[in-house]
Amino acid sequence: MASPEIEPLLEAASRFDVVRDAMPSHTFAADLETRLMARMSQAPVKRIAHAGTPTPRRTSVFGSTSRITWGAVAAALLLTIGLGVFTAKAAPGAPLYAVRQFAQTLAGQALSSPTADPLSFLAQARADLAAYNSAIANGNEASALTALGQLRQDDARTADSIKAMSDGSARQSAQAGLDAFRQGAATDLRSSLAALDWQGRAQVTNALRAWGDASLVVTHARIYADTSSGQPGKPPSGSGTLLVEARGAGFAPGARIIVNGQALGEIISLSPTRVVARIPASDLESSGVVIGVENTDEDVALAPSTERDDHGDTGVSATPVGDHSGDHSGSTTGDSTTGARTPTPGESTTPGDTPVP
Amino acid sequence: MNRMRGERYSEGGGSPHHAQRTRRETALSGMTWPPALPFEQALQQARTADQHAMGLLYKRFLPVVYRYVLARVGDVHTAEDITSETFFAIVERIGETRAHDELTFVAWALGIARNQVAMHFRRAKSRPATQFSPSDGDNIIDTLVGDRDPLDVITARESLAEIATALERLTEEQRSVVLYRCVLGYSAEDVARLLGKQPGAIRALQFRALASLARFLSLAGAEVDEPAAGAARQARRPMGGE
Repeated sequence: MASPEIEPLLEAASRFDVVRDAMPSHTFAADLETRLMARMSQAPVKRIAHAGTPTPRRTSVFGSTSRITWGAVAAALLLTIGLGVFTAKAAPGAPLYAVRQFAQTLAGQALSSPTADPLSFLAQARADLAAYNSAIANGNEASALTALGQLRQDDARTADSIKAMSDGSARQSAQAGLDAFRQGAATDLRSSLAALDWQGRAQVTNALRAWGDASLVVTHARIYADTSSGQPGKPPSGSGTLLVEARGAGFAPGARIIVNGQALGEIISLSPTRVVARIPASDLESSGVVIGVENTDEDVALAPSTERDDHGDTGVSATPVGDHSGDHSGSTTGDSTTGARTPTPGESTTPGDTPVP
Repeated sequence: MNRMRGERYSEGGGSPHHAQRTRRETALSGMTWPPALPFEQALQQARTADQHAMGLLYKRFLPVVYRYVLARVGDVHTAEDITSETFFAIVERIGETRAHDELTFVAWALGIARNQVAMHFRRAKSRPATQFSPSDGDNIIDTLVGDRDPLDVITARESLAEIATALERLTEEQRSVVLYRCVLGYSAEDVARLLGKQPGAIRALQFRALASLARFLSLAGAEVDEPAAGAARQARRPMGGE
């Protein structure tokens, strides 16, 4: 016989029996299998080199030519850099000054090549995405997030190099390639969210937001006293409730405030740009709490900093978590109130706020 | 090899008791894949567009994907649609997966299913509400009823919707743990590997998730337990912590 405390949990678990025992109908299963096999016979499965048997190395004459070409390019670059260093202090009028100008011209041309850079950066971004997917499949979150950081860098480099191109079909083609890559990458990143913890999900949401595939962002968070909890003044830490407010954008209906990755408390006010939750003070005791917002589609955004006003002090504690990657730079809303202000629960300070009963 | 629930669809047509018995037998036998063709070999062959191997993967993982989707959307027809889309995506991209065993393959397949569910919810949000047609209900009942009591079927439909709604109110981590543990029957160790956490953390997440679900489902005793649990937490806290 289970204890009364456990009984509701067992009862909740037993509600899943109806799904646990569910089976698709025979008709549906057989029909889907037929359609899948038909699809397989029509279109060849996309394969990548490492998925099947190892791809033999190319042994054509172009391989050696390519090596020679790249060797020459590397040597030329080194020579150019060497010349630049050697002639760096050459003053105008000196014999080496002309050499210095020549070296600078060469370097400038090499670094702003309008055609090669987008393609090479995009190829690197594709490799980063493959590394990310591989790390996710192997359950290695740290490696996945490293690959994600590199992916974002290479994606930004690709976009920058496309911007530097002159208008024309080449630029349009490069942009189309980047857009197609981002679309596929966004699908992969969304698929991987379930395999990541909350901090990883915040980084992925940042990446998706940069590509316009997510709108959730938190610019500011604040913890302050809950005057409606019957404890006027300064509630001692570990007792009563506190209010946690997050400001930003993209808060969807059903959004929740998360504290160190856990959705806590009850939402008392929610608008697309502001959400307030009443949370037990005991859950906010530690000094390094990280506040964020989670939407129902599992996007997560974390506040770059959290202002605490629950002990009478108004110090701002930085919460250096996750990867904000400059997404919040300069984006702090100017409407964040001073620490001394304590709105009542359910108070609507932003047009469109919807107090939650 | 990871132990998990999941039968071939051809084995599940009987009563719930039959399904439970079959599952128990599967779990007790400890065999989740035909010994003649190990999973890794089947996956390798499926990558080369081998229809027989793909058919094995399909039969093996259809219940897993279907149950996952059904728990999320709470509707049989929608679950079938999304399951179809998921398997077409699996066939399309099987050559790209880095999965190397059953667990990583399930993680990959359920990632696709999860993405399809998210797309479904996004589409549903942007679509204007449509009137429910009585014929839709008849179709659903026709699909589910078989030789069962129609009252049971209607009750099951309501339970599905209730579960899906309650699941949506959990955090992503809690939802994943509940789905993997309570619906798909993975061990805490397997779920820990899937989510990159410690087994203890998974058990704690499951406990919290079930407590939240009990509250959402308004189960008797759930309301009074939360303050009691809070008091217990306070009591466990070391002195001087305030």
